[in-house]
Amino acid sequence: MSTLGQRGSPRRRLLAGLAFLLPNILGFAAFTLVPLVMSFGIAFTDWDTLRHNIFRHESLRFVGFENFSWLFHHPDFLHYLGNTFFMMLGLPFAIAGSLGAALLLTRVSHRPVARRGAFIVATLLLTGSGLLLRLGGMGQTGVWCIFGVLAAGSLVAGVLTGGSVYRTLFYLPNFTAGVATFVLWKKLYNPQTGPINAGLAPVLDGFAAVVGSAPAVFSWGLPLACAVLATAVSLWQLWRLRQHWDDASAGAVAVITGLAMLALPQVFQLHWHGLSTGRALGLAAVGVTVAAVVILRRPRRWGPVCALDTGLSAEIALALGLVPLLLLFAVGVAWGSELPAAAAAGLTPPNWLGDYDWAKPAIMGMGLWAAIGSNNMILYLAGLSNIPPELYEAADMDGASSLQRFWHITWPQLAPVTFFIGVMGIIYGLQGGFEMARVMTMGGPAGSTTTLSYFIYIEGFETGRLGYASAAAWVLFALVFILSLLNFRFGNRSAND
Amino acid sequence: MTEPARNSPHQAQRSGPGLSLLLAVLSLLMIAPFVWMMLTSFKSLSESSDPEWLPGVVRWSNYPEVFKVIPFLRFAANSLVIAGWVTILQVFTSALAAFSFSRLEWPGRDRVFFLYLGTMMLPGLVTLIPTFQLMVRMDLVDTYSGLVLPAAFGAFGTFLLRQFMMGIPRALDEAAEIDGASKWQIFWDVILPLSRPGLVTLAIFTYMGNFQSFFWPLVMMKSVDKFPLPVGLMFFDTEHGQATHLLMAAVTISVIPLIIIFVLLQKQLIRGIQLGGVKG
Amino acid sequence: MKRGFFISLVVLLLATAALHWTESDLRRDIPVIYWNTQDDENKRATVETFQQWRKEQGLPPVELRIDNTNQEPTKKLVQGLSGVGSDIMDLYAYEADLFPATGMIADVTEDAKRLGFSLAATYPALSGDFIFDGRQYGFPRNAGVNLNWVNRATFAKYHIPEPPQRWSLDEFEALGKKFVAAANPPGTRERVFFTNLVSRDVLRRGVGLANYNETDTRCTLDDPRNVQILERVRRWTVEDRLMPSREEGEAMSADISGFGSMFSHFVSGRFGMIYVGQWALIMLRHRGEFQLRAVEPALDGFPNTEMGGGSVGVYAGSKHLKESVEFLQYLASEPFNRLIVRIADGAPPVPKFAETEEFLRPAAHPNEWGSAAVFAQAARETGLTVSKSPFVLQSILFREEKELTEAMISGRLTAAQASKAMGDRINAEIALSVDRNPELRKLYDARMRIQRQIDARRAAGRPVPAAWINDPFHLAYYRAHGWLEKETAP
Repeated sequence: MSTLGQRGSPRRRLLAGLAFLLPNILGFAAFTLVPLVMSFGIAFTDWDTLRHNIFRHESLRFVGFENFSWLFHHPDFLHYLGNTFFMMLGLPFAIAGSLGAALLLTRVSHRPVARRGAFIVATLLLTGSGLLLRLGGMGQTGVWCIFGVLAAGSLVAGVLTGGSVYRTLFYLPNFTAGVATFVLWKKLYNPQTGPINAGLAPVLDGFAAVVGSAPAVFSWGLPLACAVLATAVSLWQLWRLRQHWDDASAGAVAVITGLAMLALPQVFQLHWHGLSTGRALGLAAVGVTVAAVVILRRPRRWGPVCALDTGLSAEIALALGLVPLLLLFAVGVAWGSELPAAAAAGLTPPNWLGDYDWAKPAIMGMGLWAAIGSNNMILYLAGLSNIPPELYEAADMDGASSLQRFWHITWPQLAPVTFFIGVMGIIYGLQGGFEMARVMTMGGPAGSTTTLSYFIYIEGFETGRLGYASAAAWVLFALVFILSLLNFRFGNRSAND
Repeated sequence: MTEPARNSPHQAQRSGPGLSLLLAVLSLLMIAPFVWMMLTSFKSLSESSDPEWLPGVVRWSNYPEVFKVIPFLRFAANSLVIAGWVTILQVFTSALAAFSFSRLEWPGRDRVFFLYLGTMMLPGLVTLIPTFQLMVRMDLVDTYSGLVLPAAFGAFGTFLLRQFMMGIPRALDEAAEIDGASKWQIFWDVILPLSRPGLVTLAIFTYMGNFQSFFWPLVMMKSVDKFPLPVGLMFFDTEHGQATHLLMAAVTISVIPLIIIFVLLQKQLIRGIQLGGVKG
Repeated sequence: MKRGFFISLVVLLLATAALHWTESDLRRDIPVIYWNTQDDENKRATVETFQQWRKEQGLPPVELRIDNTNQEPTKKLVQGLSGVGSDIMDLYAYEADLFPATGMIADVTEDAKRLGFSLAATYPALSGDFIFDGRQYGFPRNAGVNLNWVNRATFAKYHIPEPPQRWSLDEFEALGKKFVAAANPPGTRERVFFTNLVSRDVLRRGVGLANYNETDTRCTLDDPRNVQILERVRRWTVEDRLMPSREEGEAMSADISGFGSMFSHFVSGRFGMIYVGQWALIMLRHRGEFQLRAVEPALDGFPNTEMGGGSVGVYAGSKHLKESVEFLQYLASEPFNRLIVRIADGAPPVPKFAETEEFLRPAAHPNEWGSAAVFAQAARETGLTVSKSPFVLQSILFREEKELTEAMISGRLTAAQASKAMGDRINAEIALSVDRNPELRKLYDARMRIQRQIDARRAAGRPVPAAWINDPFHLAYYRAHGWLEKETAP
């Protein structure tokens, strides 16, 4: 097989290859590689901007691994690391959201008829709604008026343009990305004046009234129902895992992952019932180990060959639905009995960014909003349009269900895209959070939104300890690297399946 | 679940009114914060902290006010030009590099590529401080170049375009080579036109990303005349508090050019961005 | 595609050229110096008066421009360290010791003696703001003391007696409880608070406790007295709800900077009092005419108030050092002090101008009469700058103390745990920086020897030389208790 460039001597080929690389690699070397090497060096010195700057010429000292050892002795380092990982839990949901949005958008037929007409109609509708608002009272009805007209407008426009309007609407959060988004969401989350709580308050009031009318049902009925449902779901998952292990559609890694996902809500449950985090984690670890040993020791009847990570992506995808569901049940069990008393006192919506426990979910909610319609959705859309239709036609002839078609055609075909998004998501997710923390919460309350990157920012720019900050940054790099490596190891395999 | 179906007509018919309605509702959810922002931009300052969505009186005057309070056009022009340079440099050099990584065979190619990829895993913060020191040494503080250059040579673009070019059939450039085309001609006349959707995608991602960048310009720029928009928006934070209504008006205006660019280019976006496996 | 590429290239080139041409021309024949501060009418008036003053002094003309675009603290530090800082800089809070420590603020000790703006020209208590290790790094722009501003109308509305000028913690608590009970009948939607905050520093200093020990070598926030103070603050916030918690405070402020909302809540009566400097008048005057009083913060024990001017420093990398230093000289001049008196941006830096009728009883604002005297008296008698240690950055102490206090108020830590954690963390910081820096190590060892001597003498009940004590609070405290050796000269 003669491919391009395989002619000529290796030397010539190398020169040609490098020639094309040159413009990029020059800039890359100057603005990425040099600072990179510098920062690596800095991590082993005591560089402190207070003492080492253009005004004071003290000599730098090489301090070996001292910066790193201080870092691990920092009283809050683990806390910040935990925050960073907690925020990363949003990533699978963001990816699932992008994929869902892309699937929905693809289903809207692409009929390029009357596109111009649609824009005209939509513009007319919008102008109409504006006029209506100016004429009519500007009361609460006006809001519904606006939303009604907007919905109708986007519906009409969407049908006429074949989805490109929706695509733009979904992508809209990207246009306001950055600091403007943070300022905007800070306002949205404001517990007193923000629209989110303004919308939640009547809902909660209504709910409180319902609870108040039948307190007994909620005080013991709800926890009981939740407990039963949670047990049922958990048992089903256990059974499913055993089944999949038996027929070799799940490898050891997949089984353990599935079990760990199952254990996660239990950890929260135990924690809410007063166990320390360490104990709860320990107990869950024991549970996972026992279950894993029981399942994995089962002999396989036909002894089929199966890689360790077979079925891993299926487990993760399932966990996306399972974990929130179980968490919901756990909440029901933990707080159901207190609900009537709380409802009698009046339910108040959370103080999002000001509350220690709600600040992280609030920030993740904002991140999800920004991520669903983001570049990831665009990449998924592109990926979907590249799947050969013959594959689906063949599946149709076999009488495959929608779910099967998704699972056996769409998902594997999209694996390269998912892989790319996953890598980028891990990279940016772990690095992110510092501008957000800076603008929205200053890392608070009580450090609950201080991620590693915000910590690096504080140490590097506010405290001026560059050596220390660089060490922290390289620890962050190590994390990104390990996670990306795992993604490569397991993700790329499925990408090449 | 659903399945993608653009190319098969019998599946396209399945998209009924229910689906459209669902999409309409979802897109409403997505744009709700945006709508709130636009409505706030018509409020007065005291109303801007009300939970009420609608302004009591629609104040169109907020918009001209924006141009009075800050040199909005100047900031916007700075942002457009800076992001433009980053994009053009990024797309062009990445295309060259991606061509080398995907279509040429040279010893050590894949190892160099993984080195590239590895640097992407370094948090930007790792290099932020040294890069700033570098800028000081190169005397690029408070210059446009100081904003453009560090942003223009990331590995992301190379990664994306390489994955894309992997998907272009080999037969095409082989045919060209048999016709006696040089490597440059193959790149310029064969691969580049075929990579159009990939290039547009990268251009849009780069442009949008850089139009919004805040922290780097914040520490780099000193003269007001060179501030990009996100930094310029800080002027609405005064010691008297934040002029929310004007800020929201300014953000609303700043979104418009981006929407126009997106709408113009989005057709290109979706058409066949093929991402091959990493190993290809 | 290729055409698009070339077109964009040409457009970009043209646009860049256009941007370059339209850049405002900064080249002038006379030196241009930049002052990093806010851009408001008071600062513009300051610039104008500076020009007149130069003319009167016969100094060559310069152009002084306000640079309000580079005020972000990170930016100020990073650009300053890179050689591109503004010629003159306002130094706020922790910047006052951080910036000189980096070497980016010029040492003006000699100039100050020559031009008459040394410590003798202003309040001795302010020395902690611009004098470090006996070297001078700037001059105060005003002498600010934080006191409680009382909105008399709010108190009258709920028929609550106004607080006395000097009061104890129990009095504060009793009055506060009465106030919030009267102001928040059942069903109140927007809670009215007694005050926006109390200074924990003032409370601690009242009972003889500062952030650090006498030589600033150890953080003393792990002292049992601090536990008591923290516990009281928690009770006032969570149980009595005299003041907002962090969450409530954030909910009340709809903007990022928060100052604006504090004043509007004070004016609208949601805060009975606000704890802030005299510069509050700048913000209050344009909101209307309110009957105002100023009272000292409540405390038990040693009377003290928080003092800290906005001091101004000269950038060591400035190309116009001489002209910039002259600006500091101007801060000690009569025209500038008269200007500060007129605009009520705190008390003027030169004490004698605080005794003028214009300052004490401004003709245009009879509603403020009486308050200025309280501020002037506090600046003279009880004002103390914040305790600083050369071994730990002030910003770190601020952050840790605030974070841990918040954690305690939200119930995540007990007062004892919070207090212990404050001491532990700050002392770990001290150990870290001493470990790092051989120079600091020397200083630390020397001070530790003195500290041991101080401890020994105190244990034996013998007086201590004033020169041994570095901390402004401890110095004042020792002096008030007669624990100092006879001082030869003041």
